Amino acid sequence: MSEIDRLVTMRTNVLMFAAIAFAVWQLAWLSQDLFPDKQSVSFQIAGWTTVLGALLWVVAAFYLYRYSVAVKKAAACKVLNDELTQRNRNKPFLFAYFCLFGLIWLLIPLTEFIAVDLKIALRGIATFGVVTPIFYFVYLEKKSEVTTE
Amino acid sequence: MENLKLGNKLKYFRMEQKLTQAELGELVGVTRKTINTVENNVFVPSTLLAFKLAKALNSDVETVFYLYK
Repeated sequence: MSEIDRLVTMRTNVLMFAAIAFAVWQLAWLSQDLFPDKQSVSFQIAGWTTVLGALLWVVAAFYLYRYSVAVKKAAACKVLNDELTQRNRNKPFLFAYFCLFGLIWLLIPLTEFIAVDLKIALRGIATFGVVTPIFYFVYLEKKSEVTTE
Repeated sequence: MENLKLGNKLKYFRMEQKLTQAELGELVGVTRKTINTVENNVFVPSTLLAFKLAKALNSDVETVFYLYK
């Protein structure tokens, strides 16, 4: 496996790990906001999950830093941002943009009918907006290759 | 105009030059995965990349790439 191939694999793995860590952190936090009964076991579990998610996010940030150092060291910034990568990045970005757009426009009329906690709604939408394009990018990166040499 | 697709003989010319996908990728500044997806018609390259690939394979873009139904 060449250095570039190793970096491509490292990028998808690090991004996937970062997205999972972020989702665990934010969704656990969100569940605490949704069910704020501090005495309940689920609230306690969500609290510890939030801490765990935050720690995983710190680890992910470290690995993202290590990845960026490795890319600089290999002088592979341009190669790792080639046409295929740009296409695989643009598609999820556009998808997430329209999803966020739709969710926000859905939220406005929804507030007319039910009492929506804006803090919770915005946290949910923001988490979705961060995690979805990363998972979609990783999916496209893994899917696009045909194994034959 | 008919609905035409872009095909290529990239693998043939690459083998002729005794290059691996990674080596060809290095010559034109893209990843091995990009070469792999172009070869297998999963990804349509830009005009610039098509010209670069043809040049790296000591050929013409019209010879390496072609249109088919």
